[in-house]
Parts: sequence; structure tokens; C-alpha cells
Amino acid sequence: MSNPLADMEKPDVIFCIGTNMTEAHPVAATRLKKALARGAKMIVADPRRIRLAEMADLYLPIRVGSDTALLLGMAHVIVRERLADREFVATRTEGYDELVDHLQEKTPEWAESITGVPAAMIEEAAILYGSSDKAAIYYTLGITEHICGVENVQSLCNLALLTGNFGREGTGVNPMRGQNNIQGAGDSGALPNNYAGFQPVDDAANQAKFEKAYGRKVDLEKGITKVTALEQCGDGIFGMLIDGENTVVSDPDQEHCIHALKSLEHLVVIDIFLTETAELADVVLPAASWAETDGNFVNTERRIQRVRKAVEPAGEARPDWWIIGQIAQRMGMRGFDYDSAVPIFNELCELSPIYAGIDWDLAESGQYQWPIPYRGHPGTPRLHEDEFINGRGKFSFTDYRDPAETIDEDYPLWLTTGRRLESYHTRTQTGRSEGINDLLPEETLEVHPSDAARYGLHDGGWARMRSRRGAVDVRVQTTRRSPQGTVFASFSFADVPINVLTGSGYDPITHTAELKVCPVHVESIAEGGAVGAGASKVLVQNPPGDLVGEPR
Amino acid sequence: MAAVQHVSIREFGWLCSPSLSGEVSQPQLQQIMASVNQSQQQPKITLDGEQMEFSPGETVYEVATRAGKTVPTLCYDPRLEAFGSCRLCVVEVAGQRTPVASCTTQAEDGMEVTTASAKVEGLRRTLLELVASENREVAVDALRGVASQELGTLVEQYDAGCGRFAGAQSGASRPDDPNPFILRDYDLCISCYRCVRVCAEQEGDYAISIANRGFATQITVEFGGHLQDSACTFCGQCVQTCPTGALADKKALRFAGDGTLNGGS
Repeated sequence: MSNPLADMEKPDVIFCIGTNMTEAHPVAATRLKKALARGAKMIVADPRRIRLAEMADLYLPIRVGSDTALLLGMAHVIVRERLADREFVATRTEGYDELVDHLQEKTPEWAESITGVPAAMIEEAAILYGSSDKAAIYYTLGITEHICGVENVQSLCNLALLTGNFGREGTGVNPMRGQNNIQGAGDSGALPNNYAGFQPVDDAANQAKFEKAYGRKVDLEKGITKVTALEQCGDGIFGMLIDGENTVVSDPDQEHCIHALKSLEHLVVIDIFLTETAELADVVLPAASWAETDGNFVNTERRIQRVRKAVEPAGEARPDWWIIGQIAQRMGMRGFDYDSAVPIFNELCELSPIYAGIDWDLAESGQYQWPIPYRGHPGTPRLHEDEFINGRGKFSFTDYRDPAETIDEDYPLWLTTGRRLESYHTRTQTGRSEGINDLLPEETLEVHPSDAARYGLHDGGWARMRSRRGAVDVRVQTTRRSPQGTVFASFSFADVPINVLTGSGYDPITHTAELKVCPVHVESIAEGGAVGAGASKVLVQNPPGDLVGEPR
Repeated sequence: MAAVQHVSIREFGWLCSPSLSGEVSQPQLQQIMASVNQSQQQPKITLDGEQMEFSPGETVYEVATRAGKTVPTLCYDPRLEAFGSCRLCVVEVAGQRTPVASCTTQAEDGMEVTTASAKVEGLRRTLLELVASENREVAVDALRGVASQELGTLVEQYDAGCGRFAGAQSGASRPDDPNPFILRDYDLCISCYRCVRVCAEQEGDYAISIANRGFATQITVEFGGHLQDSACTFCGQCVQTCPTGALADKKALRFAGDGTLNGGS
């Protein structure tokens, strides 16, 4: 996020697109609710009429995968209505004139023809966003999990650059990260193209720096992404270590994924539970959970927060850093003989300019948000205040592209996937948490009543849903939360493996899968459970004498 | 409709009377702003004989707490708008005929405040006796929630048994609510509304509300139903702010000493 979470309470206008934050980020979303209670206006663009849409002053019901068209249309209106921030554009950006040329044809009427959102509403949204003093953009995976994820983000940045909504309280372009420490994972170099601290691996100075630090040769090439790695399983890649990810349930095209993992000669999985992925492994190494280990998490606002061990790890479980260190040492690698999380974090700080100002002891306070470039620096809650990292903000000349697959006679409905409040990700933890299963016992397919009628589905009945990759059986819930022509399900339940269907395409730059768009066919069936690739099982049995007592 | 612009008391209400319920109108606001502009110096109050500077907008309670005074409260939660219902935070203000609730009284320059005179301590004890009158004298398991010991601790501190006013009982518990997370033991409820307020002000969920008035007051969801059928998301904020343990963490209570869900009460 460019701005701190506290800023969520400050904007005059909030533009949420591709985020279901009241379900996926419910704690952070309380700040947004406070902003609305204070009188802030909210624009929500989402294919589904989610709770956020109900709370919005202006709801734009876009067709899945059409975000770039909407954003280009809004940019067109901002330029046309002379709402661009002239001073900001002149002093902080480059490429404005080219952008204006590029936007000539991107009229709201053009955007309407692609998004399905009436041109007048696109104009209203652009004018509302463009004419406020403090306007902030919030987005989540509804923007990035497309073949055009990068263009979507660039199109959002265009809006903020045009209107000068960077570097001030209550503004910015703010992606809500999906996991507690996904930011920290990237910070510490768990990316194929960067060393720790986002230092590119193909930069000669960085290579020299890390060779010196590690006392050995380092790889000079960019690594490969997970998508590429799965493609090469059994054909170049024969061993794999998966740490803390339930790839089989969370990744697209489940059948392909299972086949890839089974093609390996050796699969090692490190996790706190025996997940569907761990079940495919040759060796499973039990990891300590968040309550059983010391370390730091880095959250969505780049805040470094200490994690403190509260209880001893169960059984033979060990912290991830210990397990990886032991494997490395037994492979004969030097430099992995850490005795705690402390020297590991300090190494990260020493080698990463964005962490240079702190160490383990200073991080204890939880007050730092990186970049913290030197000792005594207070941290940077708000990015881009005086200048952008590369000096000036560059406008991007994005264009709309169709999703990898579009609806046709055989697959006439759009499926979009997402999360639900009650279950987290693939339910590795929430699926084992007493009580949560009572709130949300099973997955359902959300279908508009008229679509249900058209395809012979019934509320509470079962549907077989097919894509070009597979089929799953799922119980039907008729609801106007889904628009006509689009159905929704979460990917959380291993016994309704929605990701059997997805995986039509990937963003060419980030290799992020187009999990938000998948044309499907649905038909009514008598009873579910027959179809579903691979790991289909119920995770939790309520233990005897559980708290619920009375059956509902 | 747009003729009168309303403003939050938190922002501009520091010169208003404590009885004002939360909003000031435009003319009042102009008056307030004018008097604020008159004195640019850091204002002070006298607190138990000592001078304390304060920032405009601070309440007497906030200044007193900052000064290290222990002023008892039950309906107060620093995250919430001051409510002024329990009256335990009463203090004496020179020139005022009756003690005032410090949580809803804005500090004013020159104000002389006494936080713990024999008179207010006596009032607090009587108030606690009234509050405790319908509560059984029971030990409330600390596992119910982080704030669950607040009432019990004060009752003990002020030696305020429930005997003098004991008798009728308000609030009906909902042992029938089958949700797996929150125990609704309203026999212990003192109608401080912290749960209702935290749900609205902090979570923005407005899942629970107050039905009926006076002794018939009941914390409830729509149609007197179960939490699961309401807008409740089981975030647990209400449990953690409840000062009596009337709302309790069912999962934590599994570890309660006597092994029953009502452990201790």
C-alpha cells in the first residue's frame, strides 16, 4: 500500500475496485466503514453486488475482466473535464501528452460497450474521483488475478497520477495484501527476480554484494515463477520443496497441478497440517505455527511486527527457518547455521537498503514501516511524498484485452472466484477451527435467480459446473448478489475444488493466473459429490462434545 | 434539511454542556469557534489542587487519567464515544451544584475539579450498589473476556454488596443461542451498551441493539433471534469490551475450572 492503514479513515472519496474487503480484509475494512460514517463518498466497481457495493454511493457493476476499459474511460473523462491536477502532472509525472493522445478514443461510451456499465455512471465516477481533494484507491486480487493484471494496476496508477492523489494523507493506490506476511515474504527475497529488499538478481552490483555477503557464487539468472516450475515438473525439474502453501487447492487448473507434482521424483512439503498438497509429498516436515515461533511479519502497510512464541511447538514441529537451515547444511551449504530468528532478521536488515535503519531489537516496537534507509530514520508510512522511486511517475498507455477465454455457446456463463468471510484461503487452519464450520459448513455456487431458471437450477439443489479443464459438483444458492450471466464460488473448500475449472491464462509479466475469470457451463444434477479431481474430502469432523451442542 | 449542519461532538463539543447528546448546530458552532479563537494559550484545569494543561477537546476524565488519577468507570471504553450512562466517573467541579460525569464533561480553562472527595466516593458506592443489585454475587471467570472483571473488581473495591437494593432482575439470558463463539449470559448485563456501541462504532456492523427501556432493557438482535441470523460476524469485540462477563468467549471457557460453559456464575 502506498499509504498507511490509518489513512483509510481519511479520504473524501474512496474508490474500491476488485476488492471484497468486508469479507477478505474485515479488520482493515472497519477503517473504511469509519470513513463512510464520517461522510466520505465511496465508488465500488465489482461484478458482484457485495456488501461493499451495498454501502457505496455509486456502484459500477462491471463485467468480469473489463477493469482496464472502465479505468481508461474514467481517465478520458478526467482529462475531458479538466480535472487533472496540472501542477502535479507538470512536476511529478511524465508522458501526459502521450496519455491524452492515447485516451482520445477511450470514451465512456467505448468503455460502456465493454464493461456494461452505463457511460453516465462512468462519467459520474470519474468526476467524483477526479474532483475531490483526497481520493484513495483500494484494490485486491480482483485487479491482479487477470491476464491483464499489470495493465489493470497501471491504469489505476494513471488515475492517481492524473489527479495528484499520491503522497498525501487519505490518497494513494493501495493494494490490500492477502496474507499476514506475504509482504514480508517478498521483502526477504522469496521472489524469482529479486534478492532480499527487492534488489534485482540480474544487477551486477547486487550480484557482487551478495557474493561477498554469502562468501560464495550466487545464481546470476532470474529464477522461474511457480507457474513455469509446475510446467517443468518431470521435465527438467525432479525435486521440489513447498513451504507453507496448499498449492493443490489454491492454484489454478488443479488436475494439471496434481499431475505436475506427481511427476516429480521427490516432493518435500513443510506445513503445520497435513494439507492436500502435503498428502502428495514423499516427505512432510512439520512446521511450528505462528504461536510457536519467534520472528517478524510484515503486513500490507509495510509495517514490521514482531511475532512472539507463546507456546512450545507440538511434537516434532520446528520453525521453518530451522528446517530450511538443516536441509541446507545437510546439502553441504555454508551460512545456514543460525541459532535463532534474530541473526536471520539482522542479515536481512544489513543487506536490504529498505531495512537498513533497523535491526531485531528496534523492530520490537512495531512502529516501523519500510523504507527505513538509515539509523534514526522514523520509517515511511506514506510512500511517494516528495518523489517517486524513479523520480517521476510514468503514465502507462494501457489497452483493453479480452480475458484468455470468453463465454460462448458451450460455456455461456462467467465464473468468478474469491473468498468468504468465514473461511480463510484453503481452510488449512479455519477448516480445523471449531465453530467456523458451523458458520459456513459448505461451499455454494451463487447464481442469479434468472440464470438458475434458465439452466434448470434450484436454490439448495446441485449443479455440475464444467470448464474447458474439468468439472465440479456444487450446491446452488440463488442470489441477486451475482449479476445475470456471472456465477461465483470461493476456492476454499477442498471438497468443492473450484480450481479444477480455472487456469485459462496468466499475466505474461507476473505469471499471476486469471483466477477471476473462467467461462463455465452449468447443469442441474440430482446429488453432488461424484465429480471433482483429486483431493476431495472433508477436512474436519466436529469432535465429540463440541461447543455447539444442539444441532441447528 | 440542509439548513442546519451537524458536527460531531468529538470535534467541536468541548464547550458544550454535558447534557448535549452529541451534536451541535451551526450557530452554536460559530459561538464555540469564536470563544476558542479568543484564548490561544494552552488552557489549564486544577485537578485535586494541581494545575494540568489540556488540549481543547479533552474531557475531564481524559485529563484526570493522563494525570494518573484513578477514576472508576463501567460504560467507558477509550475507543468509543463517551456515553455517560454509568455515572461512576462523577467528579466535583467548583461552582457546579451537583457532581458531573467526567467522561462527557469537556475540560474548560480554569475549571477546578476534585476527583475523589468523600462525597463522590459515597455516590460511587451507592451507584455500584444499584448496578450490582440485580447481579448475583458470583465470581466471574476471567476467561470470559479481558474486561470481564471490571464490575467485580469495583464492587469489591467499594465494598458494594447487592443486598440493599436486591430484588428484581432485568435482562434475560439466551442459553438457547447455538452459536459456537459467544455466550449471551444477560443475567450479568448492566446495560452499559459497550457491546452495542463497539459493534456500531468500531466494527460498523450494527448487529446488536437495545430493545425496550428502563428495567425492561434487553440487548438483542432483530426479532429477538440468534446471533447467527443477524449481521453479527463473530468478531468478538463485544465480548472483549463487556465489563461483567455477560458476553463471554465460549471457546475460552472450555478451559474454565469447573468445565461448564457458565463456569463461575
